[in-house]
Amino acid sequence: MDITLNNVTKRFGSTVAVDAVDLEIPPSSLVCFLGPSGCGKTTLLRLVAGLENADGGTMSFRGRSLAGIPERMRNFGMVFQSYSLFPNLTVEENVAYGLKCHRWGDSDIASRVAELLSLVGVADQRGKYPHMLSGGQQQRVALARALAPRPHVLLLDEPLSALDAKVRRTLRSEIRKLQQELGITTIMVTHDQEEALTMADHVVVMNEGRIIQQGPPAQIYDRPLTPFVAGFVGSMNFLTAVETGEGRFRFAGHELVVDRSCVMAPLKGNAIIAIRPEDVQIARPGAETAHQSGSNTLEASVEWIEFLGGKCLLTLAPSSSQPLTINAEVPARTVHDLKLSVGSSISLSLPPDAFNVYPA
Amino acid sequence: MIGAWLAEISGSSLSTICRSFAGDRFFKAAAVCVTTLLLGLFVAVPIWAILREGLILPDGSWGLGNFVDYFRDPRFVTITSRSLLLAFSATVITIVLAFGYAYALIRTLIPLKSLWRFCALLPIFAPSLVQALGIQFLLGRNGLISNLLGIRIDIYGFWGILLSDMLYAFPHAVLIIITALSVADGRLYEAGRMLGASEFRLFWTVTLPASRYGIMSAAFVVFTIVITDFGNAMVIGGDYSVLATEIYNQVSGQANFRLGAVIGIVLLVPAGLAMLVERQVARRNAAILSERSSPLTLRKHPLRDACAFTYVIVISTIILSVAGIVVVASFVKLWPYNISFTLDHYVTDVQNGYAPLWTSLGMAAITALLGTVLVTLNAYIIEKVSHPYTRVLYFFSVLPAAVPGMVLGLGYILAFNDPSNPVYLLYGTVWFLAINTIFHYHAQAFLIATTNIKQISRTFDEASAMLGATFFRTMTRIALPLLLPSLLSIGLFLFMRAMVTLSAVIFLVSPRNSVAAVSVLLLDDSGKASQAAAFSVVIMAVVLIVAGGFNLAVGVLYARRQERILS
Ligand SMILES: Nc1ncnc2c1ncn2[C@@H]1O[C@H](COP(=O)(O)OP(=O)(O)O)[C@@H](O)[C@H]1O
Ligand SMILES: [Mg+2]
Repeated sequence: MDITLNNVTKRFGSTVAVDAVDLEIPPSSLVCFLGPSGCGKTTLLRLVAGLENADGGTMSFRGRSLAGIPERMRNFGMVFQSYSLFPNLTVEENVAYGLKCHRWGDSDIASRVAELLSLVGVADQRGKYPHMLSGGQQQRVALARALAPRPHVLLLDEPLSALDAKVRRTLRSEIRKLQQELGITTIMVTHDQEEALTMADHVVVMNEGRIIQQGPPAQIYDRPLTPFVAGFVGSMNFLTAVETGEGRFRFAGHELVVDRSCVMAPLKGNAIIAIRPEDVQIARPGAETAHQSGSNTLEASVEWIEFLGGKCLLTLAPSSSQPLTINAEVPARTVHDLKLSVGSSISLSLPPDAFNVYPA
Repeated sequence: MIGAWLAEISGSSLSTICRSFAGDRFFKAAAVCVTTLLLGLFVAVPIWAILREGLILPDGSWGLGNFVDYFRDPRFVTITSRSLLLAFSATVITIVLAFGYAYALIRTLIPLKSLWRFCALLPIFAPSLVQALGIQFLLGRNGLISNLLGIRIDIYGFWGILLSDMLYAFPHAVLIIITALSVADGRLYEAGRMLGASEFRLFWTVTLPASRYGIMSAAFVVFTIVITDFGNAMVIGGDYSVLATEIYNQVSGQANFRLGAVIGIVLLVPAGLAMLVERQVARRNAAILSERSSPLTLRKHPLRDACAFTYVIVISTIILSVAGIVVVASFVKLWPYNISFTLDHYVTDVQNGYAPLWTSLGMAAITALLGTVLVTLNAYIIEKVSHPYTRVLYFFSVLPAAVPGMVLGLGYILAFNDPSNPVYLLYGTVWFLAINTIFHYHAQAFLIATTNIKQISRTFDEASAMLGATFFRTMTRIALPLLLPSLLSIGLFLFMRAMVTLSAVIFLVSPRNSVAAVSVLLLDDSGKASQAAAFSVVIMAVVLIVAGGFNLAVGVLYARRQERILS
């Protein structure tokens, strides 16, 4: 393992910013810390960087303890949220700065700076000052500066959050490609679940200073361990239900059949049943839906249609003993074929293996 | 300086030491030691010397006996209450007037704002006693107005001091209140108007509450300036003795250092309290100022603007006429009886002629250069080395703000006029005057530096450290270049103060090394008011030319750079 954290804790006064975190980061992987704002992602990253001192726990890098090693001796590259390019130095001087700190020779510095500037694609901006660059260019320079001294680890704190959507998309794949080419162990902090899912080898979902779940992106998305992760990563319908038997639930006057593999934790009667909008299927009233089983089929009326381009988000109100709605994401084509409009009646069905069931 | 010393004792090159891990800590430790030494020697020791002198009884034991004697003497009780009365009255009136002026400049649409701002600042460019000199020429025994109206106004005493101190404190108050009024949250005004509030109600419910800390901060600053001012009371006080002049009389007139120290401590209490409260208030003010808000757009309001314009013209006229009358009087034969032009008064017949002006210039140059370096290093080390001990250093860095010049000057005599003290080698030299001036104004310069250091983002330090830079490299390659513009403004501040300072250095000048403001005082004291005026005009001219030229140069040199740093 490249980086190992054991029981690491950090407090600011009475706030526990990082709470007993255990984490292992394999070599050459890209790990994303994902969580809502204020959950302690930046603090955890700064602890790894050595910019904060932990109040408890141990950290090691390739088996050697990081205790007592100041940030400047670690040779971890870091890109800050606001880039923090030195405004009094040119692009070239910014990139050369770390090399001078590590006492590289002048000719080595010159060739390394040129190499990195062309690697990140800003070679033509070398003589400019940071304020003359666009946000995307500043970000590339910050990346070049961090990578120049051949750091052991690359740390990125919300590197794309200050950029507009289009630049963000391009840089997302560029950073990922660069990371894979260089094979550099990377930790990236983000609050954007899409960013985490598309870029990471391994996603670490955090809330209130704790790690809630970690794993490959697909696992986080398909099998969220808690309702928090389910709601934070992607969108989700939550239904409150009561367990009536093995794999059988009662929810707002309907019977639901659920595959046993979908139950995420032992239940005690009450349950929260989660299903993603894209897993909800719809058909003409009375007709069988694609997965055909007669169970889990509800009559509903369309309350609202939100057009999302290729897809539509439907807000559906099943006939039930209490007011509730279920969101369904379906191809725009289906909406067209079924001639749906607000007030239309449809039948919706919930595939038994598409659920995640949590204790209430 | 520090680096060379470090390199010498360790026998290796500076960069090698500063690169190594141990070197980093060693550099910080050494810098903290130097800061401690300087603040200890030139702030703590003199203040301790004053306290010691005041607390040691004639029989050699320690106690408050001297103060009991002091307050038993009705004469000193009178002097103390006069000082307090003066300071309270001047504070109340000055704040009201300055608020109106700042309001007119910031919140109304009057023409020529930069001219009016310059007029308000004018008294800063001259020694304080120039205000008293001008009032003398206007309202004194041979004053213009007294003569024109054929009446005798008795300006010498309370009213004279009050007027001249108000004029002298006015710019300081205006500057602080301008800052407070400049940051208004436009959204509050819009919300208020949408709810139907009148402009009058908005003033009471939005403007005043938002600027209250600025107003309070200005009030405490004015209070301290007035209660500690020495020059005006000396020139126009007549027999009306106040604490600051009484210290001078006791020490210089009667060589009674003990009584001088006792009065000094009595003066230290209100001045110290005022500055203590001011620091607290200013901190809250800063918190308000840094809050996010949307800018206020001013609307036309003919009646308001007309009133503001009239008000600004009246006040500016008063300030200009007091300064202007000094200039005029310096060029006429016998004010106000024979007003034919002459340059005679510019030939000064006080001892040494214009030599003190050159001393002042040299002293001001040393103060500006050495002071900027010292103050910035102190501020940088104290800001960046986080340790409980640096809080102590911070305290001593801002302490001089609470110490009246007269008290600091007396402390320097008591502490250093002693051949066994190594600092005695400097005693009486221009370097000694410069050091005294640096630490007299240390707090203000230090706070400017600290504010600017805070403004350059902490993430630059972190980015630098992550790239492997030492504390020393971050300081010299990143922080200092970014701080350069603010270093220049600290230098100018120290230069201007050094050119006009009187209260602390008055005790430290020697016949060989005297300063310009002292010459003005001596000339006036020996009845040569016109020559005093001429000398003041020369001082003001030098200060204005240097300040103007400096601003021009900085403007040209750093216009592009500033833009780069601020963006
Ligand atoms: N320097 C600090 N001083 C005090 N509290 C802090 C500091 N840095 C972070 N915190 C607190 O720690 C918690 C986690 O902050 P942070 O790690 O920045 O969250 P995130 O990056 O996930 O948004 C927050 O409650 C924040 O207010
Ligand atoms: Mg963050």
